[in-house]
Amino acid sequence: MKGLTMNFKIILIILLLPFGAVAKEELKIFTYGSFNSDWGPGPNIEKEFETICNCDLIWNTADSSGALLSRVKLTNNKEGYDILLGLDDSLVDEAKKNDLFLKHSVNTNGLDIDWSDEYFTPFDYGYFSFIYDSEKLNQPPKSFNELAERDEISIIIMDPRYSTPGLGLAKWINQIYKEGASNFWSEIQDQIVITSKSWSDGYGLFLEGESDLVLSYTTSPAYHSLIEGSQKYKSLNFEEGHASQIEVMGILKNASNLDLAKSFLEFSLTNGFQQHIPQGNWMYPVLNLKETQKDFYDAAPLPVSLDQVFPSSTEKDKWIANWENSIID
Amino acid sequence: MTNLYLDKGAYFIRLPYLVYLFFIITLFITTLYFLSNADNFSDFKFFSYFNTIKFTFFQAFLACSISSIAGFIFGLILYLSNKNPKVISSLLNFCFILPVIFVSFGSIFFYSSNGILSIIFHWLSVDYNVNVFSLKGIIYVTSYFNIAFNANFFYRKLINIPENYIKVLQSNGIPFLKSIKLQLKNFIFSGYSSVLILSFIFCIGNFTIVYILSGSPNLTTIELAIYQSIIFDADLMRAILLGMTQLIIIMVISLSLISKTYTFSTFASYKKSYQIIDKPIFIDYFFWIIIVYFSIPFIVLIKGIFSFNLQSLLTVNFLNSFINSLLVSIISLTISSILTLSSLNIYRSFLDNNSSFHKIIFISIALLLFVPSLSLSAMIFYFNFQLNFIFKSIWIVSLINSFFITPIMFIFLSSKFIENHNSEHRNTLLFNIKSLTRLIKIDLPKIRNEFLLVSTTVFVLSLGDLTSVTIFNNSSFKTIPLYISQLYSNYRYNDAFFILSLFIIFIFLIMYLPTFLLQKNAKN
Repeated sequence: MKGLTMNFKIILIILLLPFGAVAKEELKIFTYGSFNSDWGPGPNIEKEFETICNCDLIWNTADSSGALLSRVKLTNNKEGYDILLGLDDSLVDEAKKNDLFLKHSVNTNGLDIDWSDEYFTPFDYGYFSFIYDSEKLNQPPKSFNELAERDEISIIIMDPRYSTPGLGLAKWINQIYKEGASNFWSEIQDQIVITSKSWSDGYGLFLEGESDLVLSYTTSPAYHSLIEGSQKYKSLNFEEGHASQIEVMGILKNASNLDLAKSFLEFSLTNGFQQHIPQGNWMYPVLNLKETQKDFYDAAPLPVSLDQVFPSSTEKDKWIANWENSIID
Repeated sequence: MTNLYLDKGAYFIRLPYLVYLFFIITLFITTLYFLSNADNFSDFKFFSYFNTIKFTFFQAFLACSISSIAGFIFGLILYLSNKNPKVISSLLNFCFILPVIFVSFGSIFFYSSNGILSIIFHWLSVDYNVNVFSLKGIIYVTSYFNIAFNANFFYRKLINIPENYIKVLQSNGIPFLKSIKLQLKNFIFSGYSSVLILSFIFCIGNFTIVYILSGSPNLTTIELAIYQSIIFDADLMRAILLGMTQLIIIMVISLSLISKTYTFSTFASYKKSYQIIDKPIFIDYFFWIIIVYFSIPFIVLIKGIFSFNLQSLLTVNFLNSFINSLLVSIISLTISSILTLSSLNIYRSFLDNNSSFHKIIFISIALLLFVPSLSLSAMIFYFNFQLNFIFKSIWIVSLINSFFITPIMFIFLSSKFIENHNSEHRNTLLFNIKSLTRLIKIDLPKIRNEFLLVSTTVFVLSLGDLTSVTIFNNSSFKTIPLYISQLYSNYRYNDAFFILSLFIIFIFLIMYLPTFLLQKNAKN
């Protein structure tokens, strides 16, 4: 009987050996939903990375960029993610303050944007803008001042308390108007027909005809042009310049696989990752791909850029307070 | 208490309630511990939420008032229309339990700038300037459910007016409407206080409606602020304190009414006293206006069916969401059924022994209705955090749903469950019937029809819920309402409406198929 048990154990070990031998390391990435949706860049990036890392890339998602940071703060990353992908520059200061991330040693020189941060690496960037339907709006405004003067133009924006584009608009207005930001908000108050909770909600309502303008990115017309073949949606080109948004990723403190996480950060700055950004996440890649992605850059020309700002939590609160005070009666 | 007879079965039946009580007390103690140890307790500025609190109660009072008045008028018109009471009652029930996203999206589809009404107005060359993403939209959708709820109450009251009374009225030539003013109002409005409280609670807990339709930062309710605190600001303390604020204010408002009401008889099934009375002129027109009003959200079904796309049903995300939805509803219903039967049993045993402790049982269960679902989510989130996330999202959402539907089951079944309890109690003592035997052989057959009705209702309510799942969802755990709202958010309207349509048909089948089969079986 003893011999039989021993044989059984040996057979079991032999049978399980192949599974043990091929068991792959796992890299858990926490990101926002659209990045890993069927139409987002996630699935392609996963394929590319898995071919070079001999690992399993596991995505987990939250509804939005803001929700990502909140989740890891609430749980202290007890859920065990290795990388958080999708914070934007307005959340970087808050993320660092919470001491949730590890320093990286990835070289970020030679990118299409100026970047130097010891905790985060950028993976794409964009410029906030207002999108309009050129078949409905013949003479689009050329500046914020003109926009505020033309009361007949209706606008959909996003709530800066819930949405990063909403916060981006608050940043943009504060960059331009500084102390006069509250007055500007008051001036356009009557034109804002909907303040949506998320960019996708707001953009969908704009496409359904609920407003003349919607807050989005200069890259949005490229989607309509390259995927739908429609040229009617265009981005406003403001003479004051456009505020930018840089999306970043970082390694979480209790990451279980540091080497793999670091190699993913390095991979994110290569063509294998970046080529999926323009027509996957509809943002500008941080590598210069103007030659290989000419159609994209033609459909989404770079606007005049304002200086890059990394707001502190206090500044962010002030922007939101400016908006709240002028909008809430 | 001297007659209190406890056999082994009695302990077994009472165990779920005791476990529930233990869990709730532990949860509250953990929460108090968390609040007392929070570093940023002094950062919570109550007065900065004054506008939010004011708006929450303003919109709830407005929606509740509209629902009460319209519910009474609708109930009266439906009664006077002399139509089949079973059909009318089923229609009102169904409208009340419809998923919030269905009525919200249906209203957007009908009233938005590019909606059906706008197209009709445009065709008639009339300006259309309705913004559904406003207070009007929130009140409209919130009232939709509560008008159905109130109308059902009044309708059932009216069809329960004794036959003799109607005959006396007719023989004396007294108009029916005048008799309501003179004599019937006490009968019709008896027990309405409990409906009013429930209606107010439903109006205040309209998180999903406000989430979808609030198009302005002015339109923020306490529950939306709780959602923001958890999802975006990682501030559980603020979420819990806001929840507590809402709980205390509702309790203060409801206290006087609750102290007089320890059982709700408002949902009793109608009796066969439906009367043919003389129809007032134009009543049929009003009847059809009501039918059109309740049918408006269903117009979206037409778009849904025309957007047929089999592929959207074969995606992993859809199948995953569908299975999760079913699992959540099954687990919630199971927990609620066990807890309800257990607490009803204890409730009745106190009544049997003339003990006033039954009030405590009632309050301990009814309390769950007052706690905002999202605040409960924040408490459980912290509790689970302390336990190193031992509970998976599916269990947490099921538990929160079951806590919400248990009071509904308890309230619905209580009157039938305790019916004739004194004589039954004497008989159980006389024939030495054990508690478990009494439950299985006497209680369950007695409440079978009501149990089936309330089970399907709460199952559907759980299926259509979109509150706690907004907090606890992840890549592998989504429910159908969340999946539909995400499709909608991602501008995949056709898929969203198609799946929504199938979801409503599925809900309809769940709601009425068991009753239909039961009736067919009884006839056979």
